[in-house]
Amino acid sequence: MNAPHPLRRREDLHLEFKSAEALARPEAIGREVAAMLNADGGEVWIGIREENGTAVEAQSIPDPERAAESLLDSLVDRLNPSPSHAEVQVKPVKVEDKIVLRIDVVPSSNRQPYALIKSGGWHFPRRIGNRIRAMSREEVFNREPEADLEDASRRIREERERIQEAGRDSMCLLLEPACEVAIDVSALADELRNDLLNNPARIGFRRIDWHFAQASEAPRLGKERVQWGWGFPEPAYRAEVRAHGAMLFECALGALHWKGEEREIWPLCLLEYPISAFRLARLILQKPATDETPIIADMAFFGIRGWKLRQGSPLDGSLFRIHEAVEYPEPDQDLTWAKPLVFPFTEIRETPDRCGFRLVRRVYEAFGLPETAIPREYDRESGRLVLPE
Amino acid sequence: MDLNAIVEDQNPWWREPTRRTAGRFPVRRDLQGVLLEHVLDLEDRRATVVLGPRQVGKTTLVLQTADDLLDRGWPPHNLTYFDFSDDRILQPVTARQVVDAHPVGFDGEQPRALLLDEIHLAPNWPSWLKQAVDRGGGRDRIVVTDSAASLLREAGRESGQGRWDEHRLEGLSFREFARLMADEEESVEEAWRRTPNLLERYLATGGFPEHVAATDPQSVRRRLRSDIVERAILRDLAGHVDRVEPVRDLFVYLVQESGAIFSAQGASNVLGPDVRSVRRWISLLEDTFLLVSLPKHAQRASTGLKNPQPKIFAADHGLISAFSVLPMQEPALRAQAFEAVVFRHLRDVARKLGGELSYFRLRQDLEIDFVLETAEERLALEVTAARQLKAKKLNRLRNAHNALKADRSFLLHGALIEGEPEGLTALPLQRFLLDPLDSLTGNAR
Repeated sequence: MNAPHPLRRREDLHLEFKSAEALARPEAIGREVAAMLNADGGEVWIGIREENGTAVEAQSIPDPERAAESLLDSLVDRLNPSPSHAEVQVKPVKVEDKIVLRIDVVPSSNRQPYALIKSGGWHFPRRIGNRIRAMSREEVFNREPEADLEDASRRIREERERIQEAGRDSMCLLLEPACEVAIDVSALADELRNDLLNNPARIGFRRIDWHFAQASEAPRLGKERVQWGWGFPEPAYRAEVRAHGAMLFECALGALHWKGEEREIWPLCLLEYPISAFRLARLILQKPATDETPIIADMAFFGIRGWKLRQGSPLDGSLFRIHEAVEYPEPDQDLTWAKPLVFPFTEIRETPDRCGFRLVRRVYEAFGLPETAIPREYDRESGRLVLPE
Repeated sequence: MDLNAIVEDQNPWWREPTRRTAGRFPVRRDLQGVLLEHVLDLEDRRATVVLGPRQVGKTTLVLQTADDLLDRGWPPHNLTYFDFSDDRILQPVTARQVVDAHPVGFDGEQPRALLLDEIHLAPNWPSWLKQAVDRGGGRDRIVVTDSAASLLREAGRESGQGRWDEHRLEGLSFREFARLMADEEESVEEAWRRTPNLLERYLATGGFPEHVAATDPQSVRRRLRSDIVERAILRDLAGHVDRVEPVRDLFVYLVQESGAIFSAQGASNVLGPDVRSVRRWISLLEDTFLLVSLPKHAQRASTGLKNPQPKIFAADHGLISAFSVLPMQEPALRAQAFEAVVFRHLRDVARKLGGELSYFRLRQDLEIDFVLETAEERLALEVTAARQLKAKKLNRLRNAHNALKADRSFLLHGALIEGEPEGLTALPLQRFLLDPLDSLTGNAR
């Protein structure tokens, strides 16, 4: 139990001191450990009081064996991936005549980044010198194991195929966090019923707009998911949020038609529905997701052959009618993209409309229309959809 | 332009028998079938009077009737349409002059259809209509339209009895609106399922057919304001009052207060004119069909006479959003629109069932928005735009139901409500609007 004496040493990249009281706040200890796992490893001492970063006094930890065991359990629960014995060990250590705890942290570079699970969300702290800061988006992405993104992409592809097999003519938009976020679907069902689905203003839409924040009946709570919709499986749409953070929005192609020629997509429907999905995702994920949580977004159109799209905004009246509606030029029945888009959640939180716009832009491209053909109601400068009052 | 030229221009099928004029209005109003049936029923000698506010679609209705008659083989030269509000008319034209302006090819032995639009602009039209019905013996099938009730009243309802049937044409019902928005070969129910915001669009734009197809609800509001104020009020009422501006102000005030219990004193206090003037102007405004009153329910007939206290509603809910300074999503405005739209559809139900509509109010916490009294039963209908049904509100409704001695009570709501509140029938607004009669009588699909 004897170890190199920590007293009078200073905190640095590899060394952190916590008083005995810190045991009452295992989350704070977890943050220190996660930060070291995401850096170069080191030691976290519990029961060492520090002054200005220098260890000055050892404090006895009552029942140290049990405290060590309990702390390790807590770390295993709070960190993702859960640390192995080789990565994190908690040991009772005698310093002068007091028993304190020492946490030895040895990261595995192929398992970084390690996330601290806090309030249902994932956080990625990293130790820099003797301080901690949140990892940047780039750091998280660079370190995000390809496998996680691959897994999420695979899940999204499989979901898309399931919808495709159902044979409905529809537009679907799928959002899938690359790392799991925990959503309380029961609480979400209540919020949808009591507020969101009766109050589209929560996502900045009016009732007359085209959005997913309305339902023909109360939302249904299923196994680890909540669903709502309008008249589905008859047209027009359904939406689903799953407990691990995945979201599905499926809208019948018929519901994208409002006026104009037969099988003509109404540009405002095409713009507003996806943007409303991202605004809903922002609201639903804002607590459980962290800024860095990568969200994979995929869009697909089934049965699109023969459908048309016209450039410009319908609110321009006859100017809009001057342009001819362009038919989907490919012979395929379906329009899908090989690569989904990936947005760190911070982008969805800060500019949800821009995320939706990026998906819509792909649709215009697929119809052979330039970006400028997208209705001007999407303000390119502010990155916001601004509908007239 | 002389009268014959105008008449010929308004009846292009005289020159080209295949010519149709209402083709750009493909959707038929519910009343259209009634008119067509009436004209084709040669056993019925009575005329038909269609009453409704300006811009509600009366002209389209009669032109569609003309098209349908021609499609069914009605002799083109025996069909005369005339719009007395044609701007090219410089001198007043009588109905007799129009009738006499028949074309070459007119067959006097065959029945003749006369579709006369805005008849009140024809001098002495009531006496002409009485004589035409009495002497025609059913050979002249006459349909006239009017947008000013006062003139009809002047014509004398008594003299009209047995001579003509009155039909009210209101703004589009939700079903008519959905039919207008539906794709070809798409049913109303399919259009409604396809378009989640259909009801919201209906609530925002109102039921004036000329405006509902507009893409931008804001422009609908603007157009309604100018058209209604400029044409229906400033122009139509100009000859009936010294200054028309205070009447316009009263109209805007009443629309903004739609659904409130009317107090002439209250309006006088707010707007300035004396109570007598307010009462007279109310009568004029009601004659434009743009405002509709709802009497207080009288459990004893004598009570009703002593204390009428009507509520005044905008005839079409589109007027509420058009004249409001608030955006449509404002809860108070939404609640007003809900009530106005329910009232509009209940008027149809009451006409079909021969029932009477009123509101019930015993005291502040014991009231019901609408009471529909038919020969068979008394129905109570409470309307709410609230998101949640609070127990307190339900209890108040049950108490009011008991005080009113209603046979059945309905709660018309726009929320996502699960289950059935005890003793009441909770009816989603859109289901009611799609089938008002059936949803109240229990025959909803």
